[in-house]
Amino acid sequence: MERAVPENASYRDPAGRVYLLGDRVLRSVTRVGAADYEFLRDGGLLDEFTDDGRVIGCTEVEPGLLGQASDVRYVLEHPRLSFISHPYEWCFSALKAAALLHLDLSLESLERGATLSDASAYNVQFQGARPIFIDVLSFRRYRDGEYWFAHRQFLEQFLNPLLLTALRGVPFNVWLRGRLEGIPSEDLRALLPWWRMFDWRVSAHVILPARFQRSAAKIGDDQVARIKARSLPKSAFRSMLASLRRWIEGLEPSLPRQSAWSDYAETNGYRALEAESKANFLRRFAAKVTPRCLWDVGCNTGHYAEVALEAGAKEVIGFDTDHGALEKAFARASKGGVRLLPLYLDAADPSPGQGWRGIERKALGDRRNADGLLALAVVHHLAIGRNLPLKDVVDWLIDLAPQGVIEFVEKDDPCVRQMLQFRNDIFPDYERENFRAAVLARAEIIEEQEITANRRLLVWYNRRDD
Amino acid sequence: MRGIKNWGLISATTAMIFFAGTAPAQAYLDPGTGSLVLQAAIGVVAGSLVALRIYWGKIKSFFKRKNSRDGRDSRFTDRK
Repeated sequence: MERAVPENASYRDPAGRVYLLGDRVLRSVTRVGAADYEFLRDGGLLDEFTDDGRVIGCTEVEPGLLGQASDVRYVLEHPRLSFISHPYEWCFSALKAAALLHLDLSLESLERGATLSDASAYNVQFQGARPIFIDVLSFRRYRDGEYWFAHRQFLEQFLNPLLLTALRGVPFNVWLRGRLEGIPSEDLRALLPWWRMFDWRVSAHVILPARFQRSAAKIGDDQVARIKARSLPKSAFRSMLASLRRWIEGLEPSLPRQSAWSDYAETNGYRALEAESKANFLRRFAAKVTPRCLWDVGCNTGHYAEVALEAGAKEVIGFDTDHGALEKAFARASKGGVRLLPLYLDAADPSPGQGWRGIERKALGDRRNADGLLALAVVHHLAIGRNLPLKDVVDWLIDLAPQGVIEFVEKDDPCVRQMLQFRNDIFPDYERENFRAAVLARAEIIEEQEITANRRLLVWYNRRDD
Repeated sequence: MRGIKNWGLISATTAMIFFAGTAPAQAYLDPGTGSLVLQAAIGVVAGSLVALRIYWGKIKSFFKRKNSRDGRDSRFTDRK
């Protein structure tokens, strides 16, 4: 019989943890978490949140599925999400949407006598551009007058990264990847200009917590006792949540208006006819392969992802490094209900395994779920832009999915010429025939087509799994 | 003036008696001292505001009573 395997990302909360049993996702509810779970279930709050899709669905199943663990009271089963993304891979609007979902759930729970025991951004996942809260054991009964214990975590995981981008124009992604706990208030405070202290929200949620935290080391037992004896009235708790919500709702990324690639779709030098023939090629591919999950490496604003979705792909995970393009792609997905999740990823430095023992948060390579790949105009960015051997680039791409479309851009293409304008051409191997040979070493070529006057080549491959 | 001080004291004491022991330190994650100090301060301010509001209500009703005893035109004083 197959045994349930504990998920490495879930062990901090004594109320329960997540297990994988084959393809099934199970969650134990322990003796510690049982009463809170029953409160949530019997009060109807859980049904309400799962019915409108904001919290992941769950059904009680046979506790014996997890073996004979003595302190397990309930076992819940969740639908399996096709892909787990990390908050540092999200664009600004995605982190903002996740923060708003967290606050909405907190506010609504509070009215019903419940609260959230933590505020980890990893508790939110995305289906397309729609955020969904996945940790049902975060909800627990609210006790009158209790503090918002997850306030600091909320600041570090949500507010501070958003402020870094909104107030300082620094994309939060690499900073957040650098510290999984989030961005400390002390660090953000050091980056803000002094006059920000006159913004009472910055004072209340960044400067004061940072200052108090710094003096925390000197705090005496009597002061600890006093803090414990005090309380936060429910009305004050509610207004903290509501004011954060209003603030975050109004935040916008302070990024350059025009990024290199956000206007690519409009200025990329394709004539309309050529763009259309590229789209047609992708339509044929998507209609034939009908990928369950297509990875679009170098997704840009998501135009071709949308083409593939219309033609038969079920879901697209897009990757790009351009923040402006990712914002546009996320807007496309939110507005049109397009099942596209655009993520920040530097293909030459993909998300590593991180956290406790380096396995708490999985590396990108360990989260591969694609059965289809689009890699349009990315090979030259890796092979020439990052000096990676052409064969390795092709190998890496083909490893991502068994079938896909890869575009090859010739050296005399204006895009590549621009990349080489201040460099020596140290890429004698960067040639179409070498590209084709690298593909053929791993796969069959199902179809290929030149799509521009500059001889850009599209190759539809089918990997040999031998 | 003595009244205001007393009210503040009374409400703070009431709040402390009422909430002492009911605000448990039961988070499984470390809430961070900085955040708790901040929230304790917010709690005190919120408590004082409530006390002030109650006291302000007392003053208003005191004057209302006084006005109606003085036999002023009730068309103005009775408006809610």
